[in-house]
Amino acid sequence: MGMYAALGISATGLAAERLRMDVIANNLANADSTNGVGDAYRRKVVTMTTAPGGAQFALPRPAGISSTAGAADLHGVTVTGISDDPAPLRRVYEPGHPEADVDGYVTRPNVNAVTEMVDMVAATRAFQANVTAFEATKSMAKDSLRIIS
Amino acid sequence: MFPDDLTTEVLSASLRGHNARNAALVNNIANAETPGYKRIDVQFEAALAEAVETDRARIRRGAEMGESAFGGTDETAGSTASVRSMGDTTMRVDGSNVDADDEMAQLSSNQLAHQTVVSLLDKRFNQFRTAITGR
Repeated sequence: MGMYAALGISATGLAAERLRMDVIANNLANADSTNGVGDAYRRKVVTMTTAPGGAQFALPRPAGISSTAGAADLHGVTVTGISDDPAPLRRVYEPGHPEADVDGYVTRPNVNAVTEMVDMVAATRAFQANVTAFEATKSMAKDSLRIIS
Repeated sequence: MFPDDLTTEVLSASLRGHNARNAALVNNIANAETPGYKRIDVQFEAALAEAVETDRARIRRGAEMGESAFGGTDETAGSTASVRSMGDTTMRVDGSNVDADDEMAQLSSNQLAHQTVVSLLDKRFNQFRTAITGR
């Protein structure tokens, strides 16, 4: 049971990082989306937390573990939500734009391409770390299955 | 077939420990980007060594009294890994104390140790096979 629980934990990490990539891609795709006069797309942020026992990805506790005080059961990671970045939207002077306000300013999204790129690299690396962990668990299970063959 | 063999019990307890540690390390890696997450650590070597010492003393006593050299591996067989959350340290500004490089290093050293135990267990079973078949 222990081995398969570990595979599930890595899967929660993979799923969370993939969702983060989706959100980053969405932010980049909407880097120029205006939502009418005075409004625009707000950058989305993924928030993650340690998965509690009853979470969607809840996993059986690995056998042979006695939890001491303070040690949580191992359930991986879970995404708690995708929320709007409260940072102010950009105002760009473009009087000819159809969505310019009376002063000639167009409200643009608060998406910064550089920030998104940095986040994307972080998400990619975290994803790769989970893949490596998954591979390690898999090869451990494979070794164990070889014992009396 | 040899449920009381100390070597088999030690090696399988060690396998259980390495599996538990793998689960904890994998959990740390999955939560590497979680703000405020505290890494989870598995320890079993010291408890296992102690249990083995107790059982070994019991076997030695049994041998002196002319009993079978097998028997009395209860402590080793029942030894468990202890999991603790390292809640007292912080390494990053987001409150987490997970160092991805360290987790990956521990993951691969744990994998190597697991491999070692597996081949030792394999060798032990082959010894039994030799004893049974006589060749």
